[in-house]
Amino acid sequence: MNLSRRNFLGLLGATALAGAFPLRSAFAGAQAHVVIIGGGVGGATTAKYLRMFDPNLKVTVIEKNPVYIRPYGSSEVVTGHISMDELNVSYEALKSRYGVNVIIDEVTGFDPDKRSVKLKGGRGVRYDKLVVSPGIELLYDKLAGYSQAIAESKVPSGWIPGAQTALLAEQLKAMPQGGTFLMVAPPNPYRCPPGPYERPALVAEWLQKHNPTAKVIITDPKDKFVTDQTMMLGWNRLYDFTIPKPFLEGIPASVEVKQYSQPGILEWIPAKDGGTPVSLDVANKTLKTEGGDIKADVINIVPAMRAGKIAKAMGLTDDKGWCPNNRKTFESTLHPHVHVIGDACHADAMPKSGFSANTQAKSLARALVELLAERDAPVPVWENTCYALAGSDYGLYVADVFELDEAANKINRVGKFNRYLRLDATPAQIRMGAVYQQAWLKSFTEDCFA
Amino acid sequence: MKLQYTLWPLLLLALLGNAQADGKKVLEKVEKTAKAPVADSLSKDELREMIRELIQEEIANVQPVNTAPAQPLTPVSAAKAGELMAHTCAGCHGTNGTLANEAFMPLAGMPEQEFVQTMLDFRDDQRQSTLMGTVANGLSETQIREMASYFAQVPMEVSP
Ligand SMILES: Cc1cc2nc3c(=O)[nH]c(=O)nc-3n(C[C@H](O)[C@H](O)[C@H](O)COP(=O)(O)OP(=O)(O)OC[C@H]3O[C@@H](n4cnc5c(N)ncnc54)[C@H](O)[C@@H]3O)c2cc1C
Repeated sequence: MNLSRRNFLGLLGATALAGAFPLRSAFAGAQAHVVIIGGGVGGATTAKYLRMFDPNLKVTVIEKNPVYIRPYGSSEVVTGHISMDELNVSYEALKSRYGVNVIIDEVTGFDPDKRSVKLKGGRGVRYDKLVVSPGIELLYDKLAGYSQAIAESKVPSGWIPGAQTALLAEQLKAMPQGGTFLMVAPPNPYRCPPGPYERPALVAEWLQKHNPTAKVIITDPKDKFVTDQTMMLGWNRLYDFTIPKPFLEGIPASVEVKQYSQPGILEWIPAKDGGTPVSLDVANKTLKTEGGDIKADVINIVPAMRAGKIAKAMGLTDDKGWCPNNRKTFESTLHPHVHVIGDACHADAMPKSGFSANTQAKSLARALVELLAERDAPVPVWENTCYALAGSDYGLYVADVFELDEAANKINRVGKFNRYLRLDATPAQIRMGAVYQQAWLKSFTEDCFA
Repeated sequence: MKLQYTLWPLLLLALLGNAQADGKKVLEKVEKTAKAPVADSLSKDELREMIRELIQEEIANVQPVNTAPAQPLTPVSAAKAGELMAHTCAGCHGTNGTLANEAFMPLAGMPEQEFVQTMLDFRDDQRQSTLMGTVANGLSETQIREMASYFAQVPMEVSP
């Protein structure tokens, strides 16, 4: 027997058709139009929840790609655990089940006075409220010797999934026996905090099976990262990784930490040990770091990033490259009636993650319904849980609940409790984490897109 | 053995998941499961299968509810207390706590008291979990109660 979401949603649709919902008084019959730029996690979730909250709203998503390629879980393509196709998410359910208009076109700009969005195809689309969730732009050129062209042909990033992800997967497979896979982690802030550490861990696991004399090196312009201690404990157990001293602190005595005389398959070089990248020499497949040159067979670079290009073109970004906003409604402080969410916005303690974008979208959807009805936006609530893998059977996470400090226009983490998997988690808890991580990929996609 | 405690939250959630379930039957099941040889040595696939079976059992026990709710679930008026908070659960537990997934417990239609007690136990470390303890720590008791009353009103349906 299966739970039927269809029944519930069908019911919602039927009620809407029957006109059981009162029209918004503020618009006296005129249908308010919410236009959403970007059909990714933030945009799709906003569209779906807007239509759930108020079926009388007209909601249009403008997305440049006909299918969404989900970034979350995309490192599994690198190790061949799933195929590129399995990252594809369709917009059909948004259209047919929720009555969202989806326009496949690229937004090139807007006219804030006329409240109209410009499309590459030439059209203009009018809005009452505009939501912008364009994700990120990767700043390849910030690393000397690196560029988008090089990323697409030789040294992929794959942080916005697509052809570069597939290229990286091919390169890993073709790597010579005993070769080196180099992961260049990004500076803060960046999308998916545990991601640049999960991917090399999965690569190490793959290499153990297919190329056991190979090694993985992570160079890092930082000295710590989200989930570091729990991730390193996983590496210690799985890849003969020696946990650096500062990260041993706080591990309970009951937890066995292994000591290795030889370096294992995976190595992490933090900034203080010279891990900060300086320049890339593509011809010699060599990365110059502050600590010296590293030659590798496959190089994966996650460069610095900022808000998706269109945010800048629309004048929504500040000098840091991200979009400042009113944290209660995510309305841009630079343009009224424009709300920016997801990776592109400033959100203080909230990480740039899919889960964050999803909960921001829901609070925003509710706020928009209320604002359009000329009521106050409710106090928003947000959460983030990022599952991550140290190996395919080794799950861990970071989880947080957030609250608004309205006076300071700041999002804070609630409480000071442990945000990570317990260091003394049992083997079953760890394996269960991996089960949940895999299940989450599905349930999450469904909550955003279906 | 430690692991049995690990699984308690899941087992209890799974087994006590609905008001209609016959109390005695539930107790028997809890006992049976507690004695079952659940071990750290279980593989990921075995754990997944176990969670799946427990959830299926729970769902099988639910009496089909009248599908016409007394009031719309998502009124155009201001959000119900607990609703916004409840939507933050959906990333894992499915939109409105109804889901078509084998690993996460559906929250729709869960009796209020059970939701509250489970969350408080997670928070106070009375029940071990992977992640729920962390999340529950970030919630106030009021928020938990409001979410409970929201989810209790969402019909949990069983397809024929
Ligand atoms: C390897 C990896 C693993 C990850 N794992 C996790 C995880 O486990 N958990 C988690 O929570 N998050 C994870 N993430 C992060 C998550 O994918 C992002 O945080 C999330 O997708 C952000 O949502 P968004 O809406 O801001 O942007 P996106 O989802 O990137 O959506 C932006 C959309 O806007 C469109 N767009 C941009 N510009 C225009 C334009 N001008 N016109 C039309 N359309 C446009 C794009 O095509 C895109 O579809 C991971 C990311 C990576 C790279």
